[in-house]
Amino acid sequence: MSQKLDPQFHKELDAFGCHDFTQCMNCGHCTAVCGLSENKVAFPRKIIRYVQLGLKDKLLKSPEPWLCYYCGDCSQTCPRQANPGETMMSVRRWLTTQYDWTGLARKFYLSPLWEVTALALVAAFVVALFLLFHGPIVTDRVELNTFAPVVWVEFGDWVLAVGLGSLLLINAIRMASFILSIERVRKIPLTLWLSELRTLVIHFFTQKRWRDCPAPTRWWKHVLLVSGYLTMMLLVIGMLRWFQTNGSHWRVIDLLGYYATGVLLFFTGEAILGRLRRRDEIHKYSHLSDWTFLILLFVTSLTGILVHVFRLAGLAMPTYVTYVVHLAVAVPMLVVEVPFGKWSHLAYRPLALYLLAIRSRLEEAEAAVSLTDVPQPSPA
Amino acid sequence: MTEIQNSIETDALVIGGGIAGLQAAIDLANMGLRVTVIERQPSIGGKMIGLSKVFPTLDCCSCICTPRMAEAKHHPNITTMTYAEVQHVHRDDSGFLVEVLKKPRYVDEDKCTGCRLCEYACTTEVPHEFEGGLGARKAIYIPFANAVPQVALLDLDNCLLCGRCAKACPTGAIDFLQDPKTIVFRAGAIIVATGYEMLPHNFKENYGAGPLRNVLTALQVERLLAPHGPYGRVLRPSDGRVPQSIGYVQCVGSRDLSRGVAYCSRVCCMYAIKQAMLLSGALPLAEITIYYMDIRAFGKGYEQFYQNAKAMGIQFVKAKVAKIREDEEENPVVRIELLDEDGRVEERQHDMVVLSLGLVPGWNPREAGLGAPSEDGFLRCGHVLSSPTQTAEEGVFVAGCAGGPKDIPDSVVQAGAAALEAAAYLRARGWASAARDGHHRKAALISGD
Amino acid sequence: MEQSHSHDYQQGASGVGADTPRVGVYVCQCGGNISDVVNVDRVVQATARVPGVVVARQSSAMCSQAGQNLLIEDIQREKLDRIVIGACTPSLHEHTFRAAVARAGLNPYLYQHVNLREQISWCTKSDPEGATAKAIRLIAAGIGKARKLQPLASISTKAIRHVTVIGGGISGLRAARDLSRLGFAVTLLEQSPFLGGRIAHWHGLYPTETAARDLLATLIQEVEKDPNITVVTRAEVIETSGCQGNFQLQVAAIPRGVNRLSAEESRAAIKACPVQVPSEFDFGLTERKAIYLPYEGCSPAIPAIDWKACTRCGQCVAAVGGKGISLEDAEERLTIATGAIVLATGFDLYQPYEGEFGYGQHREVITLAQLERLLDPQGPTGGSLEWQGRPVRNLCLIHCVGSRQIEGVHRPGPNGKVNTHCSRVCCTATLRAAVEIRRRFPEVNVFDLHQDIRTYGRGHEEYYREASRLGVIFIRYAGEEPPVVSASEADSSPLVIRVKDLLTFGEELEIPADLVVLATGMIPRDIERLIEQLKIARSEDGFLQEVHPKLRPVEMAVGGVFLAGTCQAPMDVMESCTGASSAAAKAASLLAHGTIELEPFRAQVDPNLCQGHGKCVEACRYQQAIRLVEVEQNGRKAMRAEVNSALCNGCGMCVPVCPTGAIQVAGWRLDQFEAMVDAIVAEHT
Repeated sequence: MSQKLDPQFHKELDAFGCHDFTQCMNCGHCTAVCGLSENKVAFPRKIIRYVQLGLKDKLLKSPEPWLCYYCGDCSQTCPRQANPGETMMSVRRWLTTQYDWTGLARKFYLSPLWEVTALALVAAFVVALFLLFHGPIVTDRVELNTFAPVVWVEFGDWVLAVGLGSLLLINAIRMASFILSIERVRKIPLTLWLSELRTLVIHFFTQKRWRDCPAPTRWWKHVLLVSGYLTMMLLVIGMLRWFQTNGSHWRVIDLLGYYATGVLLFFTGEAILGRLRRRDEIHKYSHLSDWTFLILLFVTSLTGILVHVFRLAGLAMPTYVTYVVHLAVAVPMLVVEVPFGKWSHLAYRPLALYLLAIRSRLEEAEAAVSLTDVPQPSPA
Repeated sequence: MTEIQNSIETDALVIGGGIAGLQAAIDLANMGLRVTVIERQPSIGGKMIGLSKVFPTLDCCSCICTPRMAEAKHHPNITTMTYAEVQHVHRDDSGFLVEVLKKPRYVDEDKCTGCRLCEYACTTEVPHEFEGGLGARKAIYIPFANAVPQVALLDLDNCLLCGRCAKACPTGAIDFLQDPKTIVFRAGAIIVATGYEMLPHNFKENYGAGPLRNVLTALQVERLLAPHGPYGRVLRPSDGRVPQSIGYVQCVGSRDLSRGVAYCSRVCCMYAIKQAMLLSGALPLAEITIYYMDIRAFGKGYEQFYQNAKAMGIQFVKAKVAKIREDEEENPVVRIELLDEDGRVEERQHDMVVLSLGLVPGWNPREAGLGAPSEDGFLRCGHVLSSPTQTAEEGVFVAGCAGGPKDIPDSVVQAGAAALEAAAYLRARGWASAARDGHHRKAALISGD
Repeated sequence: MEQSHSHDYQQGASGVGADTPRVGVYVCQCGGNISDVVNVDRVVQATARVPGVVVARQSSAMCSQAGQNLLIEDIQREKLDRIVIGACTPSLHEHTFRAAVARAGLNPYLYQHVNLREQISWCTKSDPEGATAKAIRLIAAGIGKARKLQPLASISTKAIRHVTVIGGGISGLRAARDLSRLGFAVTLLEQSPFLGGRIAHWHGLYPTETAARDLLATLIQEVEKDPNITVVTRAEVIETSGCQGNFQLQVAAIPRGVNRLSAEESRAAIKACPVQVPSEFDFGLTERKAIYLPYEGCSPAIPAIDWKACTRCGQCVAAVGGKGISLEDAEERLTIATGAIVLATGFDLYQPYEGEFGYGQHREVITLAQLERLLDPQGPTGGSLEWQGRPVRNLCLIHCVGSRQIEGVHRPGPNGKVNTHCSRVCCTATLRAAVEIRRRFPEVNVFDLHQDIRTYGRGHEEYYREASRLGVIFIRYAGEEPPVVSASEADSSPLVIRVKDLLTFGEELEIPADLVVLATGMIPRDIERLIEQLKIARSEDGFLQEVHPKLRPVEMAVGGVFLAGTCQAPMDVMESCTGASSAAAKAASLLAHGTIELEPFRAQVDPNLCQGHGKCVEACRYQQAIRLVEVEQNGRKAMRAEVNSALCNGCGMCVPVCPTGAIQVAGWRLDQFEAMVDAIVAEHT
């Protein structure tokens, strides 16, 4: 079937930060220089080409953008300086909006106003909740669990986790239906889904493909960042009743919190500085979504540790206020970024590898079928 | 001022004795003008004399270049000065004063007969630049077999000062005490034919900086293919094995903004195809692959040459090589995307890989006070379309690769045009030095009938 | 003593002494180049035993001053009258040794060169024994020939300081101007009524974006003001005779029908003309009258009458009151005596056949030349990109139409052949147009369908990059699977192009198109009459064939005929000007000295043997080098062959066809060859 071109499509991507791809002359240097490109899973030129021609369907079907960790090698060595790395990044942003069925992701990516308003509304909602429903304010000592009863907060955590998780799941299912095609998704036996589940889990926790990128330190940093992030998630969702506490005493569990906060603060701070300096290839181009992601995470971590500091210092009011601010940053961040923003990559990256593994198993099976279709020469 | 009084008069001074410079000199001389050719190397002939055969006719390069060298050398109107560099160009009312530094050869050019006895006597061996470092030469040597002039040259950096050569020389030509000399020429016009240099071997870092032994430059392969080359046959340098699989990497340093060379070097496609053809003649079993971005076979007979190469079984793969590494047996392995197929990435191992390196200017005219070159480093031209050999400097004309990469036919044609422009310029300015003492002139074109 | 001898050989009288030739043989070691392989001692010993050899020596380098002095001394002391030197290739040092022989007072053509380097030592490195034996035989052959050598005198012919340039396009104008700048008189012949040729069509030239008509106007002005240059328009060479230095050209010139008209009168005359024919200048996009000016600012600025279209109705004459226009179209004849001819006859544009990429079938398929006219602010649409009254949204450029054709894939042209050559200029010209469209009409989507992008020249790659930057979409097709243009069923665009794109993993793409532009290539021009008259050759690709692409790139095999511009091969404006200047330099070199010295190796007829069969005349490849003339022999009139030494190239084609063996090439006579063969096959010790 022949492909219909859409020469205007690039205008759509332009808004996602994709500018230099027209310079690409399709020499294939980027794909060949990329350590993660192997055999038929070869990128980024393929993706750039689809963007150039406006082959939207092909892009939706492509898991490749999620396989790129943006080491910047392709951009640095590109003979036309067409910025393949940033094109991949932009396509990831665009794909995020395509997977999202609500259309909100698109609004957030394309309109700073929408994004800021949404963040502000959720923040206001959080603040309003506290204003209306906070517990008794004890000022002579720190009684955080009285101010914000842990069961309620825990309940809120779970609501948020389930809600956001469901949104993300729906997006993930949409992503699978694009990449594997709807007809195929229906026909895939459960055993196949299950057999490759390992891929999903391993890559979710390790992003180990990233190690094949030329600068392995970035993988280490990211692993640490993710570990901090997961630790924090564990603490605030699963272990909140032990983590959030009254009084000014120090507990062993805080060590975990220190670790998570330290890692988060350090690496988000480093990334913010990097983006300000624009020295490394990966930090040269910053979209609004990159800034909000980093800044919100940084502020969340900072306010989180401040809550802890104020509590230890026995400063009751600052603890409560900072706590509200902390949640008024963290909740909007999670609500806006996890299903609709940059954070969704935590799901899409391992999912892309998982779907790719399933697709190649399917293709093997299909190839085997078509081979048996070939009439065999009769033995006589 | 004494220098100026002692200046040697010439109608036109040609900087560079490669094919373009020689052709321009011969054309001017045939029009009746006196020409001086200044060549930096110890022999005239430029890059061309080091090549094996030339596209698209596959003529032997020596057979085309040596007659031009001999003609220039023996032409009554041409003086050639080798191993000399233009230091500075002054301009005055009547024309140019050109300071030329004649570097010491440590061999008396008038006495040397080119018998090579000194070379045989010398015991020091160093890599031979002319052979791309693949062969060896002595510390005193004739630059190469068909060098013009056939005069030895002593490489003082590598000389042990043992005196064996001086004893062996039958004419007593060796002079360890020679000094550099500055010679001043008064010329009416200048033709810059300073040619090109090839980019350095390790220009692309992903191609094995600190060169891999079996990754050669195209000029080295020219020497391997030349009839009197370093090995006398095609062998790969690491172990002397006959290569059975050879890969050509095109556009190394050309059309590459990441390395700052934005332009097309214009000759690499064709020389790679030519070398591939010659290699498949020399090594009938060898598989040859050319990795290219676009095949630019634009000249007369070039496309047909390319199609012939395809028909001969030379593989053309559209791919930009991104990395070259070495396997355990020192075989170079190239990493590519197969564009014309399904776009998969492959690593392909070869016995030998040849880098088609781009061309960069051989000389910066600013060094001699001749004005800044263009952004691409080549000479800035004044009237690009209608008088393409005129440079931005009045009275200075360009021939060959000094004005941008060019193949031999285009260089030779341009040399003729530069000669014409120079002659017309001299005539228009009423330059009449030649009429004063034209010993060899049958007709003084410049001064009229 | 030396002085008195030095010019005697010119008369061919001296130089041959006693009846038995006294031969001197010199074997050059070539600094080891020869002696490392060939045992030179043995060669000299064996040679010394050959009868007639008086001196046999070796030298480390015969070409050195020492070697030449040795030769001169020997000739004078030993009274040698034949010299054989075994050394490098004759193309390197034959002239050197001939000059030395002449300095010794001997006729320089009593010298025979034997190539021991290229023909033996370099190619027989692994077999020194065989190489030595071969050297002995080749030297013996040289001696055998030398013994039969006769003194010869070089041929001197007069050179007229006048050059005829055929073709008034950019190359011809450039060549004419250049020759005039060197003081030569020039006649510039142009076939059409107007100067300027092809480039006037293009409003912007790469790589400088100069307006072609401005460039042209400057050059034409220089030519018109130049007292050395005579321009003849509507001229055609109908007969050529003579040879380099002294050609005679018969030229037919057709009157333009208009002598002198003011601009206003011209307009009135053109307006009055009732005939409409397609305008060549706009490639048929507009129409012009039978009396016309192709474009504003053309040169000469006097209208011309297209005699084929003119009905002789006389309305133009009436419109200007009967003055200045004459409907007499009888051609005039001119004779031009000229020293050299520069051919600048240009190219033709490939004309697609009906149905080639939809050309002729769909009105939306045009050529790049037509697109250039559309883009021209002074063109038929005033520079707006409209086609058939509708704005163009999607424009598709197809490269290599009529170029790089493949046998079995493309339909052969009228000559039965496909055009396998690359037209060199179309890639950059197409991209230049693409860049212009994207800049001036950003709403137009431009698709570029190519095989390879060949932006080779200085400033060319920039167009490719700029086109990319501006969002031109590049699609690469395989030569074997060219794109297919067909009518579209969708309403949006009238045409659709289907192409297998090699940059998208071989996927078939569908491209909508409001306008399809074919980048048609350059093809050789039909100048058969000129080719026949001058007996010049075409290359395989049909363009004119130079002697050698590197040694003599702007010269034809026929002496005194030079090549400028696109009659030789496709090239752009800059390259055409370069070629034209180079051709002018060669013509100037040829004619600068008043006479032309030619080598004496020419055919000679023995009038006693010639029976006037005329086979030699048929075999001769050079115009009038041999002809049959009537002579009186023993009181009877007979036809006998006669050679014009100035025209003969000494190729020897005539020698084997002569039934009576009457024709021979001086310096390469059959008896000389026989002597060589005898010597080679003889026993050697």
